[in-house]
Amino acid sequence: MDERSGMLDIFTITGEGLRVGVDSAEIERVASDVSSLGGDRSPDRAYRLEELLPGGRANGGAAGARVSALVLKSEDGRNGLVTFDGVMDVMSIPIPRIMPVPDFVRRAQKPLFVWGFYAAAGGLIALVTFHYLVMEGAA
Amino acid sequence: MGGKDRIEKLLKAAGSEKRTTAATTGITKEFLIVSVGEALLGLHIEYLREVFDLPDRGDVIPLPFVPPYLVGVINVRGEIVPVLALSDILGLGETPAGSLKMVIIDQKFKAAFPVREIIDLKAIDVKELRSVKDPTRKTEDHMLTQEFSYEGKTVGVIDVLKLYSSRFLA
Repeated sequence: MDERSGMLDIFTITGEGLRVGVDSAEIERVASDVSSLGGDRSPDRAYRLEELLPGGRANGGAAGARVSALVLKSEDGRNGLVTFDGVMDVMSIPIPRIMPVPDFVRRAQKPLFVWGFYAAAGGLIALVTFHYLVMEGAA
Repeated sequence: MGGKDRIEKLLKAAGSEKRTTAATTGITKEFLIVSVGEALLGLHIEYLREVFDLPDRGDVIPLPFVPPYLVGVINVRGEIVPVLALSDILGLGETPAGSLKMVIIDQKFKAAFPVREIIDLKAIDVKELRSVKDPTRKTEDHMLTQEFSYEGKTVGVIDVLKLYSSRFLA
């Protein structure tokens, strides 16, 4: 988060009708092809983005299809990896225009995943955090 | 705009202009009567904020890692509002998948729930309200604590304060 300018830099991932944004501060590295990370990488938790989102459809990764990945920044030694098929972009969004989810929704999510929305051209972007998912795992 | 005028305008916008007034002599309360599944429910207008048709059921954005009664959120003029399956919470069976009418209530926070149909806006004499006890449900999960009769049918009154303090919304 760039507090001086009131902007938040996010990676947006689009695919299968889903559009999510991840705070760039959570991301250590982006790989356009997960195989480039090498076989010796063994994250504590690895997720397929489409499988995390209701309504999303994991296509199973067709043989030979290139799968991109976000390598999440490690906290307390836990590593996380998120793979996805969709297109990725980087955006700076004004923080005051973020629509936070109500406290009730934050509390109901175990773990907290979607924390807000941003209305961009082409529809809403769900702002998500992988922090609690990596630290606590899915309920 | 007064409360009644506001609600009537909302009903008109939702395609339901029906409004009946009971011949009463005592204190009355006004209820929005809606159908959820096969049940008729009454909602005191004090807690009613909006009634509208959802243009597209895809406008409800589902969320991961939430209990089944929290079906998602909707964007209401820049405000994210949770959508609840009231039928799940009240034990009324499944919410009709095709339902696109939404009712928004507000007590501690705004919450929306889909209904099958907006039936009426009706003033009820408080003497017509009957207490209901449901021995099949835990006391804390029993949120239809009163009922009244409407055109030969029974309408369960949603105890909104109890709903908001329940394990579902607390």
